[in-house]
Amino acid sequence: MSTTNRPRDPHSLSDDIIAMSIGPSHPAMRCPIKLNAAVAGDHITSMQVELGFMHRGFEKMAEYTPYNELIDLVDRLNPVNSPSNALTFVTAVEKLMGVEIPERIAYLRMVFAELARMASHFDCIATAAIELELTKLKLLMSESLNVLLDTIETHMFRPSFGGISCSLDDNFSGFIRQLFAFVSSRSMEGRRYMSQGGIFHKRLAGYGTVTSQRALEAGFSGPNLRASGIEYDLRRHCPYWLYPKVGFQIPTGTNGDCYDRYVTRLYEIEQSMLIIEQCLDRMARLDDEQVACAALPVAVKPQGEIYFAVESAEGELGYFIVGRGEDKPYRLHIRPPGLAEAGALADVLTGEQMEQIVPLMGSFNLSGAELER
Amino acid sequence: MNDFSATLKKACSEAILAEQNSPDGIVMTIKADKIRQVFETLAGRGTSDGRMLLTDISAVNIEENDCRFELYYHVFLIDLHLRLTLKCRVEGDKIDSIADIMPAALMPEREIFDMFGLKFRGHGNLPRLFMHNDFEGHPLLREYPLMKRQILLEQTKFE
Repeated sequence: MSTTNRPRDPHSLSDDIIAMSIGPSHPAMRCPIKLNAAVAGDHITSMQVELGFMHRGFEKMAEYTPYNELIDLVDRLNPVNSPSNALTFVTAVEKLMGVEIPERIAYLRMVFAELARMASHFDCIATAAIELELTKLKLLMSESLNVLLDTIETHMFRPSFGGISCSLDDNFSGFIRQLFAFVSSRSMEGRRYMSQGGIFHKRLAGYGTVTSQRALEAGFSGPNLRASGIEYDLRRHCPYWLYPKVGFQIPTGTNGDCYDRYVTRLYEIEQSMLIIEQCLDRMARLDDEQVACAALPVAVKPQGEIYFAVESAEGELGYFIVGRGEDKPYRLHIRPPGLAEAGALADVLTGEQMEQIVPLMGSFNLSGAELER
Repeated sequence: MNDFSATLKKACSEAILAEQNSPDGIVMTIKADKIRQVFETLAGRGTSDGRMLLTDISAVNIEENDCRFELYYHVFLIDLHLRLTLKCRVEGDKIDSIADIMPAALMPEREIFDMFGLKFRGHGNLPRLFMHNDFEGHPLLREYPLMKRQILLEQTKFE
C-alpha cells in the first residue's frame, strides 16, 4: 500500500513516529478493516490497510449450494441493504435463463431496492453523525433508518426466481406515502444540519479529496464516484428492471471530498422517494391480472455465463455467474461495491489527522461481508 | 457501438479472436498474451469517445486441456453506455498485469492471486489480500476441499 511521506505536522511536540493499529473492530466502522498507521503527532504519515477479518467463504460455498438456497445466503452479505444483493442475484440468474418478469414484479423490486438504498444512506450519515457528536442529526437519521428497515421486514420481503414474495396489503401505497411524510421531514431537517457553514460542513469539507480522474482510475463507483463529479449511475447508463420508465436526477458533487460524499447520499435519498412514488403510481395503473407473486415453472439450471450489475446503495454491485446446466453454479463471483475504495483508502487517509479517520472511512460506506471472500 | 468495436479490432487485430454481441454489450475473446496491448489501446483512446471504468476482473478455474483459468475483464464505457467483457484463457499460472495501465486492476489482481494462485507479471510483490500469510494453497481452486480450515494463531507483524 501507499508509503508516501507527507509533510510533518508543524504543531507536533515530538518528531517520533508511532505505529498505531486501528480496528479491525471499531464501534463506528461498519466492516472489520484493520488500519496500520504510522503517526507523527496527530498526522498520519503512512498507512497500510489490512483486509481479511471476515471470512464467509461465500464464493466457495456457492459452488456447492443450489440456486434456490443461495437467495437466502446472498441477502446476508450486507446487513442494511440486504434486498439489493438478493434482487441482483435473482435477476442475474433470470437473465442467464432468458426469463422475462412481469411489470408489477419489476416495479416491486424497484420499490424495495430503493427503500434499501435509503436505509443504507441514512445508516451511513448516522454513523458520521455519531463520530462528529451531532446527536440531533444522528437521531434524525436513525429514526428514518429504523422505520425503513421495519417496513422491509414487516412486509416479509424475499425475492424468488421469476417473482417476488412479500405480503402486501391493499393499502401498501398509502402506507408508503405515510412513511415518506415521516422520512422526508427527517431528511429535510437533516439537510439543515448538513448545510454549508454548519459543523458538519466545517468538520468534513476539504478532507479526503478524491479527484474525478483519480476516482475513475481507481475504479470507484456509486455515490463515491458521483461525489467526485462524474455522472455515472447504472440505473441510467445500463438500465435494468423498469428504470428507463421513471424520471429521476443523478446528484453529483463538485469537490469529491468527504463532505460531498455524504451530501450526495442525502440528495439520493430524495431521488429514491421520487422513484418509489412513480413506481407506486404505475403499479396502480396495471391490470390486476398480473400477479404480485410468481415463481419459475421450470427447474433453475442455467447454462452459460453472465455479469449483471446494479446500482446498489454503496456502488456497483455485480454478480458474475457461470452455469453449466447443473442446479449449482460452477462459479459465482461478486463484484463488491467498496473493494476499489478499500484499495484507495490508504492513499486518501495518508496526510490526514487521526480524528478524521472514522468520518472519512464512513464516507465510503464499505460493507464488510460483500467485500471479503 | 459498432464504431467502437471496429476501431478496437483494427488496432488490435492480432489480439482479438472472436466477438459476440449480447443484449448487455460486447464480449470479446482475446489472446492472454496480448492483454496489455488491448488495455493500452483502450486507455489511450481520445477523450472524445469517452471515459472508461474497469469494474472488475473475475477468474474461473477450469481444468480443460492445458488451460487452467479463464479471466473476464469487465469494462464499462461510460459515454457510450456500453459494457465490454474481455475474456481470455490462461495456460499455466501466469499472465501480464495491467495494474500499471489501469490502477483499478490492483485489488482484483491481488484477490485473484490470493484465491486462485494465478500470478500477475509486473504487479510488484503481490501480497495476499484476504488470507493470512501462512495460509497454504488457494481456496477457490476446484481442488481445494470445501471444509479445509487453516487457523492463524499468531498476529501478523506490521512494519
